[in-house]
Amino acid sequence: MDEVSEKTWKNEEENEELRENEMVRVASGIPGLDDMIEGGFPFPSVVLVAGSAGTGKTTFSLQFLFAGAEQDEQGLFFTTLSEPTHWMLQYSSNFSFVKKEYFGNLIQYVDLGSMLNRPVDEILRYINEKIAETMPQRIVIDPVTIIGNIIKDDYRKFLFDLTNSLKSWQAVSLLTGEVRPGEMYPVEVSYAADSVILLSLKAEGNARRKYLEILKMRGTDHRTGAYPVSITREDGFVVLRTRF
Amino acid sequence: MNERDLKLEAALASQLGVDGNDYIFTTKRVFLVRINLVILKLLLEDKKKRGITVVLDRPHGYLTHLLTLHKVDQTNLLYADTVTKLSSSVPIEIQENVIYTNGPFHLDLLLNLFLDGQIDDSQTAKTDLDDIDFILIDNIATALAYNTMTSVENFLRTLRELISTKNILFVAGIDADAHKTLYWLLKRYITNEIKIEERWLHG
Repeated sequence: MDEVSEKTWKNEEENEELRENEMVRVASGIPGLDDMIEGGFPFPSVVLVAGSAGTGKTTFSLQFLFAGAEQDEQGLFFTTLSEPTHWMLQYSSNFSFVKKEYFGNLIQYVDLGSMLNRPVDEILRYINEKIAETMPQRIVIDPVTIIGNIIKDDYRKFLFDLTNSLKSWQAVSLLTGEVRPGEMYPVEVSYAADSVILLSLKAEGNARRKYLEILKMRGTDHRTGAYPVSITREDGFVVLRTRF
Repeated sequence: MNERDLKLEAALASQLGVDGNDYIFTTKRVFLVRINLVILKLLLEDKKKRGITVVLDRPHGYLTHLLTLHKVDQTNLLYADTVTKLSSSVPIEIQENVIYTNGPFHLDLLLNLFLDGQIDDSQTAKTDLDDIDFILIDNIATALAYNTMTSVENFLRTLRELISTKNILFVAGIDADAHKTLYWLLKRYITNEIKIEERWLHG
């Protein structure tokens, strides 16, 4: 062991400071976002990405999975919409960040839609089995709020069990949530999640601009306020520097 | 287990236990679960070893579930579970292959487990280091969230002395970039290091 290293671990005060910095983070894959959240999402954690239709939730989630795949991290995408795989492939393949060779390998796609009429315990067991089979480092459930529309009474318990289970699998999980009119974000999910990222549309003149705001992120000194975003085929989902 | 993980297992088999009996492996934090699983399969199934897995990160049930799904026989595996008592709101079920401790902040109790064979009289599971071939820690970095560096060092020093007298294989994984201080501490007590190469993960 060299002298510098020896000194480092022997000093208890210095260790305390080092320990503070030892939260592992994974890069979000969203240009501009990691600078706002101390380098990336805490690992493991559950992140709610909430927004109304057209705010970029699915694009955000896919970009997060592809960024992981670029670093050999396994991704698992649960869709609750019962969309055939080729539809998602077709839509997403317009983005330059999508590498089709990752689908079926480093990014696995699972349809949860057909499971949603089953008992809650069975849905959770199915999710856990899929996670155990693939051992992903990144998980997406898109959109989780649909499950709430179907299972209603058991939804809170389901979310509590789901988020506990996701964290125990040692992964960063993104749950996307539809925001209903008059609602700021899906409250039930926000209680269970470690982080809440709000995507929104704001009318400006004749156009609607997209924004991203971090409402909470546990263990992270994150930036506050709404930041404009752009979504293009070439660059995907990007958080722009200017704050409004 | 898929082909990719079988190749990772082969790569690990060519290193683990070849030079001595104490090893740390270094990898990105996000790959620790996968590599621990592959190592357990290698030791339990292919090498027919008996061992203890100390779980500090999450209840042992998750690892049990993972091993079951990957069809790894757990007959020769004992769990020292530091998490379930801390996180469970329901009374725990006494099991023959699980020793529960009162939380990951009691590293001294873990040492008792290795020195005396059990934590207390209420549990049926016991360890006898003479019957044990390996100890795997999952994951040592979590210990730092609940203990001082001095406690972790004491734990490692005592464990190191124990395994050297008993010819037991010791394995612990760490993300050396994320936990530099602990990595250097481990290097002080553990002789061998396996750097998980990217090509092993690709398969």
